Amino acid sequence: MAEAIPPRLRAVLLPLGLAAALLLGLECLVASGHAPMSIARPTAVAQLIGEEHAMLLQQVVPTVVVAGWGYVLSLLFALGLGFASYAWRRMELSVLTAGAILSSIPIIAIAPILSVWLGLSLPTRVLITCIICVFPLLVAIIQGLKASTHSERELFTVLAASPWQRFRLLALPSALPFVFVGMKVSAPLAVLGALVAEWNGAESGLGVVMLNAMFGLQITRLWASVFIACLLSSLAYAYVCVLEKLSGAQDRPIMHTPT
Amino acid sequence: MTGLSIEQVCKSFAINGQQVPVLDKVSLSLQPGQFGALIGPSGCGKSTLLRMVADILPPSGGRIHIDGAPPEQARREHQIGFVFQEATLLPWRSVLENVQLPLEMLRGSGFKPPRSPAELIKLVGLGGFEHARPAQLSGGMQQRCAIARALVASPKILLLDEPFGALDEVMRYRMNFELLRIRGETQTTALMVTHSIEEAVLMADRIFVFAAKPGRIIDAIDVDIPRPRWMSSMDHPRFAELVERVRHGLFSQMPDLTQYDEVLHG
Repeated sequence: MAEAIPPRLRAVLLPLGLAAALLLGLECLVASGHAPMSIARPTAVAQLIGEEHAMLLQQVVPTVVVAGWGYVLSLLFALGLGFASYAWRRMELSVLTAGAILSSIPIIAIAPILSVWLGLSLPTRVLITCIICVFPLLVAIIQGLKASTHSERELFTVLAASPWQRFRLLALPSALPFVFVGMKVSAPLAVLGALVAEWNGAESGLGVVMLNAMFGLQITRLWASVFIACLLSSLAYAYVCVLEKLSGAQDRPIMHTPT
Repeated sequence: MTGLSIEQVCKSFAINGQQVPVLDKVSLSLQPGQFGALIGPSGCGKSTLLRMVADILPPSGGRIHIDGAPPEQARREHQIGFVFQEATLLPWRSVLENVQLPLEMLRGSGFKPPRSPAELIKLVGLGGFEHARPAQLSGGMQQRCAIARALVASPKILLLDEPFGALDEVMRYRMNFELLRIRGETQTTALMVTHSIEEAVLMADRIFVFAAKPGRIIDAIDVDIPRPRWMSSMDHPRFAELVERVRHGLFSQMPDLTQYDEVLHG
């Protein structure tokens, strides 16, 4: 019976079925009256999203803008630092150490400080998103630019390649699959960064909806905003997967350990 | 002028702060168009010697000349073709794009390859696979592609570092005959590192037998089996004699094994 379903369809049906079973279970639990107050009925959440979709969409836009800007700027920044570390090997350790320290500071702790310094503006929110996004990108790019094999580098020596040719024809294409790994890790983080920035103070956004619902004990609305945040993160991840497919990088598995 | 001359070349590596000699005063020479084979136990510095000829590593002493020029000049002038043990094809490029790679380094120099990449791909027997990716090819096909790439800039010397070492015996013979055929058409001076005695005798005009610790040449053999060589060359009476001479040279470095033979057979 199970063999009759094609494997691609099965790969979709299995997680969907699991999610449906979970939602159905929650629905029954809340309907039976045994669930705590903090659990919302899935059908009520769906109904709320249906009724207030215009308002929610309006609130999602600023969050997407912050996440998008934060993501693109971190990518550009990480690429710049990665290329610089490739050109000047001595920079690499300092860059990675600084990145590790920056990413080990709890974002929740540093966000209010940044807001006090820089004000509750859009750039502050973008900066908070960048801080949370940049490290996985940086590690992936620096690692990727070193991913060519020993004999590939010897080949380029025999071919008398210039440093620019070596970078463009060897280091950059070898780095591409690694860059996509970093981009996939960072895409949901960008949404998280935007939410944290909005919790910290903003006029509008999904994070503000979430915060207001929490303080107003509007459990259904809170769950609706959480659901939308999950949806945004998944879409961001899926978007990077599509980009990866278009680039052709997924044809080359990461098979070499850097030497 | 000689195709390749190596005079008194030494090499030592620093291991844990100590200079360990790897090659000790190695000298050899090849006429233009000749095929040389380096054979010897693992760790005797054959590959290191090949890398010094290719200007990947600097020698610690001695002189190397390729057609009268030092290796660095030959490399900068794109006169060296190198085939690695692993094919080392760029996985994101097609067969054609891989073979074209050396020409991209020559862009703007006005160099016109005497044989186009497409012609060379046909010569190595990969016609029809121009747009295949390396991952879609067998090990033997990948190595053919690497040979085409090494020849595309029509180098003065072709260096081969155990090119067929990772292939099975049957495929290795196949590739030996392919290389004999290709070289019959290109006549490039060549130097090959190998572990196979039969391969050395079948392919080479001169065989250099190495001993290890430190690496040195203990026998230089001129192979007088007539060319063109093909499968029947292996039945030539000189073939077995030369194989035996190389084998004795290699085994002479293993006195422990030779002693055991004496115990067994008097």
